[in-house]
Amino acid sequence: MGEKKSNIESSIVNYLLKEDKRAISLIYSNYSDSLYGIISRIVPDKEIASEVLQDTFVKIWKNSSKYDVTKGKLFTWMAQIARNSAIDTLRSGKYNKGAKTDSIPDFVYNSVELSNTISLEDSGLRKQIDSLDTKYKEVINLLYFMGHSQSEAAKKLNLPLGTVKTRVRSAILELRKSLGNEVYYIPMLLFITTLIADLA
Amino acid sequence: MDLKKYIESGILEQFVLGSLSSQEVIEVEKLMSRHPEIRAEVMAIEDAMENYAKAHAIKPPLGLEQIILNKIEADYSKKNPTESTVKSTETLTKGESPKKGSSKLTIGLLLALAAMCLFALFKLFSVTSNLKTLKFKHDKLNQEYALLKEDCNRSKDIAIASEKYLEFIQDRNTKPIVMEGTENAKEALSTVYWNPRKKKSYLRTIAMPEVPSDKQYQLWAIVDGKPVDMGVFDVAIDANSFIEIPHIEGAQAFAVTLEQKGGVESPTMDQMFVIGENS
Repeated sequence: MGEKKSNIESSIVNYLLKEDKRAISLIYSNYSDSLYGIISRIVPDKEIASEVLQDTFVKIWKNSSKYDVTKGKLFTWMAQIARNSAIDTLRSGKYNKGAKTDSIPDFVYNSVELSNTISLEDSGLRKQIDSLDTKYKEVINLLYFMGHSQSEAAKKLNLPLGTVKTRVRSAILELRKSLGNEVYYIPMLLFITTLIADLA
Repeated sequence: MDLKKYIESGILEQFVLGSLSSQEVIEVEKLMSRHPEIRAEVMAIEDAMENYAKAHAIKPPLGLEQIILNKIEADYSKKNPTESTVKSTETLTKGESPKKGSSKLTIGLLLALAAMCLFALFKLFSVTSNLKTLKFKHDKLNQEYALLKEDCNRSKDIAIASEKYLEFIQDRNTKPIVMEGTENAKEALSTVYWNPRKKKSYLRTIAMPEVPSDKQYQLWAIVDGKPVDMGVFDVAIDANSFIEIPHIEGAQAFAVTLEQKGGVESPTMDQMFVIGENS
């Protein structure tokens, strides 16, 4: 799974380099729902969220030459574009339905309702992440989905900055652990399968 | 520098989460290019966050992909005006979205699969019926072969018997005693080949009338004027049969009478069919 994923990633990067529009189709089929998930957490209005997703894709296309493989993974870069586009929209007049421009919707760190509308794909992964402690989730959601700095998050959550820092690291270590389980489990399974196939 | 301490500081997490200042970002990027450990750590954090995002993924509304592709197409045309016509037809065909394309592909594959299955089924059917025909032919040939083998064995036996017969009658010490037909059957004829040197005798039936199923021919030797039982025999319909009989010293004559099946102790004289003297 990991290998397949990185294959997709490298072909997307190749297409982007050659300005081949197949890159967009590939990104759309592989990452649009993850990106839309991030955007929807910042901009809950479906119509506006779709516009932000369109913007995000246009920006990915136009700025593809700025993406540098050595500085990080493709998804990190795209997620950043999506997040920034969503926050920009939120702060611009577009999303000014009575709410204060700098206010953050509560569902960001309290998003039970949104979780239910999430696509059921990767339900195994979802279960692993759902088991993440709430105190970790709220920190990650504020930083990752809202693009807050750690001190902003500390203020929002009424926690000392040091605590936020430790929680961020612990939360991601926790995520890596559950991810690790999944990743090591698959090659093992493959190995056993080939072994059985060889025997048969 | 102490890489472990740096990794544990949490700055790499902030880097991936995008909450560092641009100054700090440049520093992390510089360290990443110098230290593979840091790069690996960053990638692991990125994987974790990518999965986190995937777990919170939401399907965008339908048709959005086409809108995005159109937007990008417009931008692309501005960038490369000369190529626009070629590229735009490409996007239009491709623009049916890969999902539709892939479903077409799936349908195509399914159809191909169905056709293959059908063909395989047909092939299987024809092979099975061929097999049945072949098996039938095989059985028939087997039967014919068995019959031929039987025939062949019989011919071989006959050939061996004929050889023996020839050898025997050509022997200089073999004496043929021709038994001619009596009043009962004038056409009847049989011969006893008598060889006192080898002490062997054979009966050859040449022309004997058919007998009722409850009767059998019985051969007699006449020794000192008295009949001696030499056993009963059947006459095969086709047959010039050559039967070995007991050898009797001093037989003056041989005769065949028709008797009850299984034979009798003394011959029924008026049922004598052939008789020949040993001169």
